[in-house]
Amino acid sequence: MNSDVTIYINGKPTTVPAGRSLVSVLWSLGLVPFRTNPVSGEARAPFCGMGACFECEAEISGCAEKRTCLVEVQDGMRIQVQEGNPHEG
Amino acid sequence: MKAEGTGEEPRAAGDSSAEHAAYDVIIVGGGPAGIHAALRLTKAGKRIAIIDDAADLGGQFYRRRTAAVRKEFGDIRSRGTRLAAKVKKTSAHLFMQHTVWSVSETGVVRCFDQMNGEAKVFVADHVIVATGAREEGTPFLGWTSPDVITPGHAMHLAVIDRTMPAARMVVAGEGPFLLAVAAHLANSGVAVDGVVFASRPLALKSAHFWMLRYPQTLIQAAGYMFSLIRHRVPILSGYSVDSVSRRSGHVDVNLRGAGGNTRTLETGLLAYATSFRSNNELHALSGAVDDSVEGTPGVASVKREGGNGSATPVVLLAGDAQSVLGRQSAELRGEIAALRILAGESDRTGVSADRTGESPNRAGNSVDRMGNSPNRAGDARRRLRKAERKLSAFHRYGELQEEIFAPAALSAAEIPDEVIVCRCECVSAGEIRASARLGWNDRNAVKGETRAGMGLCQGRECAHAVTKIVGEVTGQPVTLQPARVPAKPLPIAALLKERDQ
Repeated sequence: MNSDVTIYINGKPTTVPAGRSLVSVLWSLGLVPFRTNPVSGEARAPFCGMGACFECEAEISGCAEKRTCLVEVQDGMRIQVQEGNPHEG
Repeated sequence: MKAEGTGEEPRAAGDSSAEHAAYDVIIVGGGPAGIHAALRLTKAGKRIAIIDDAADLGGQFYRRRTAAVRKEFGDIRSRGTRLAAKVKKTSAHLFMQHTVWSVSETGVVRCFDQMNGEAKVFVADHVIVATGAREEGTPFLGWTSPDVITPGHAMHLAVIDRTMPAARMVVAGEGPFLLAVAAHLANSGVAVDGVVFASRPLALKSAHFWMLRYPQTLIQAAGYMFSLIRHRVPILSGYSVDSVSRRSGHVDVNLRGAGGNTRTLETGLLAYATSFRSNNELHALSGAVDDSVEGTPGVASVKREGGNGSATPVVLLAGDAQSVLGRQSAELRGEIAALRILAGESDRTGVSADRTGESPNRAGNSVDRMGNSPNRAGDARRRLRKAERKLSAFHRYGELQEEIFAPAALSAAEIPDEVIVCRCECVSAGEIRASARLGWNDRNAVKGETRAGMGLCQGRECAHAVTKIVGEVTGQPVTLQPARVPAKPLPIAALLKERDQ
């Protein structure tokens, strides 16, 4: 069994496989879409997967607008996705 | 050594966290081109740094599986693993998860650490911009919905992270990349409901036979086709994506054929792109001539040239950031950029190694002002000629791909008014047309008025479409959105900190 890590999504702890990009973990947890566009309010999913489009952004360890496609999950990582996002509605 | 100033600039001695470190060469982008430039330069004893905003070397083509994933699933594209390991054994300083937002014509590179926003400024005699390319897609109704992602993203998820974004997918748009992505998805266990090309790439023409000169590519393509046949994946040609909509728990991909007929594919998620676009913003910002041209859907235009085509000798482009020709060509062009520096062709003072400017160093060996010995420069020049000859074969490769994947030019007029073109600022095609029709707005004024291209992605996803729409309204040729500093969004704290230095 490969090692798992515990991450916190909006305060809720979740155990996920290590070594994955954060965006892939959010996909596999069924949390996509996890944000809305600030202009139109429409739900958006991560798009380009390589750091160009910023559609995958979330707050990581208190820093906003981090591209989750460029970051590997770490044990204890704290992620804040948009409050009132489509999945929490 | 920096040519400006009265003498040699003191170097930040081996301190990779120094904020004003000086290098011989800075390489922006640690993908195939950057890696090969790094290996050639470090072999020649140059002090270099590689800066990349991803977590590890490899870029997109050699995006690495992490150790945890390799342990469970093994490695893929192990050549990339070997190359990355080779670079890590050299003296190159690596700055991963750092975003470069400015490159000046004098070789000043400004970046920030993504994780804590810390600003860093580097200086170098040369900067190689090896930032690769990104996917591009002509907007259609529903392309901003959560039911559409890019083929590259789908492939990274399935192959690198071993995650399925959906159980069922359609791969559509244009370009040979779609074949590779569909094959990888199918082999990863995704049910691929179809691969859809706007053109007819399988209709045999002479270009297909000329591709026999590139056996590696043909073998690869045959492998992908075999995977698709094995998984019974339908291949559709001559269909563009008209719209995507959700219907009772699944996704409808509505297609329009060249003759006006329509088809609908039912699936779970659409992976869509119509071409690639070079990430050459940093090079343009350095003051070099921006000679980007509109890419033919499928493959970006290829420029016939012997060298790297940069206007200033300090900043060079390498790889897909120059023009999109794929991994093999990128590795070669990374090597060429390094060799140009070593051969002294890019010496900022214009003095080449075998003319005046030689002065004996302490050991009695002649060196030029760059610290190159004439023997080494001569050797580099010989390698450079050889590499440039090899490169000329790839221009034909690009042309052949354009012949095979060549749909009728996608007209912007076919983008309905209600389609959101600028994803970040939610600007529709209708708003862009209205702004252009006012009569006094050029392309940049349209951007300023509508905000199309002013969001976080800085036009990376939409500028090509905005340009096309404006061009069709005004009837004037329009260039792409010019690059602006910062090339990527950066936290204000990084700017303030730099001011305090």
